[in-house]
Amino acid sequence: MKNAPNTNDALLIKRIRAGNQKAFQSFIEKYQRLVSHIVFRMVSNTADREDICQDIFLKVYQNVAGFRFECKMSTWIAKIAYHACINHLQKKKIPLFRNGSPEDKSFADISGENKPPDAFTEERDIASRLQAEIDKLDPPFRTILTLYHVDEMSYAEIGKIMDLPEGTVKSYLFRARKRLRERLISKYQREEIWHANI
Amino acid sequence: MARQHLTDEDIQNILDGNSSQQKGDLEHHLETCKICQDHLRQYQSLYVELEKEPGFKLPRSFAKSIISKLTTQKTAPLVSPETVFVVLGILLGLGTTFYLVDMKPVVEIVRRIALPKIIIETAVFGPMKNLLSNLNTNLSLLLSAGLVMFTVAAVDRIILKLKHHKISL
Repeated sequence: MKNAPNTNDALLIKRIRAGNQKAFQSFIEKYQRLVSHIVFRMVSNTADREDICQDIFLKVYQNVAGFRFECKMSTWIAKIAYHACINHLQKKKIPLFRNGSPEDKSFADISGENKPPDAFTEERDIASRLQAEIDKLDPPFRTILTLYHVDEMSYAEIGKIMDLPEGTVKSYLFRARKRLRERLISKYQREEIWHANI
Repeated sequence: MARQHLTDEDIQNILDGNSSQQKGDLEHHLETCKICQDHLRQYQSLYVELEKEPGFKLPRSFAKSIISKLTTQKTAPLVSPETVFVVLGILLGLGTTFYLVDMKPVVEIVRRIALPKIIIETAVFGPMKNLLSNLNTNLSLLLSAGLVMFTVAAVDRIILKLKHHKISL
């Protein structure tokens, strides 16, 4: 079943298909935040991120003629972005799951040596501490957390993007949040962290 | 009987707004249990932090840079002027060489190596030899033309490869 297309998106797509580059610029500006979230969570190497974002939008431009509004535009773009990131990781021979599968052992503690350089920030507040902990999760878990909490996508939308059943998305999300809470509790002073935001 | 403490899943379901048959029970327990209230508060703090924007932002000029990349791809000529000059130079050089240099010894060597008498006299090359002799064609001229065509084809292939590489980038 087709989704009722968002009027603005439908108009933008029509203008892009007609070769209007201003329309594509507006389109990029509208969706670059979403794409950057996915790339940020999937790709740890800061040097590669902007190039990947560019490749994603070029791919979107090449394929926009074939978009039939069978899902939301944001879901379609996010799916392209997610799979572009997976291709990038495969090319660099970086596994999607550190232990080969998304089982509980993939949440096992890992040492800081695998942290990306930008994770070595001074962990002064809960935000940076949490970011450091999120960085230790496998890329799909990080992506689910961001798509759900920052981009406010539903389980179904995330499932479409990542080719996962809704139940699996929900389960990954629960496990990731549970693990984050446990890690923060076990690692840091309880009072210091948990009362910082209350 | 007092209800057992809320599980992580119970609390996450409450915060996610997922409906549950035991919702009333859970909320009633939460009102009275200090441990579960703490547990809930911890998750609330976690949710607040998770909703914050991650730390990677694209530059302001990002959209414009993609548009200019698209424009470059569209307007780039199939062959750049530099390449045209290179090809013309090569062709001119080859033509002049063929015109000025006596090619007879080269042709003789090529004929000896590439076209030995046995092969020429086989059924395959026999008709060709007859045709050439009938037409009284100058072999050196044919070889020169072949060489020029080969060079053009090779250069053309290189240019196409470079063009393809640029696009795939």
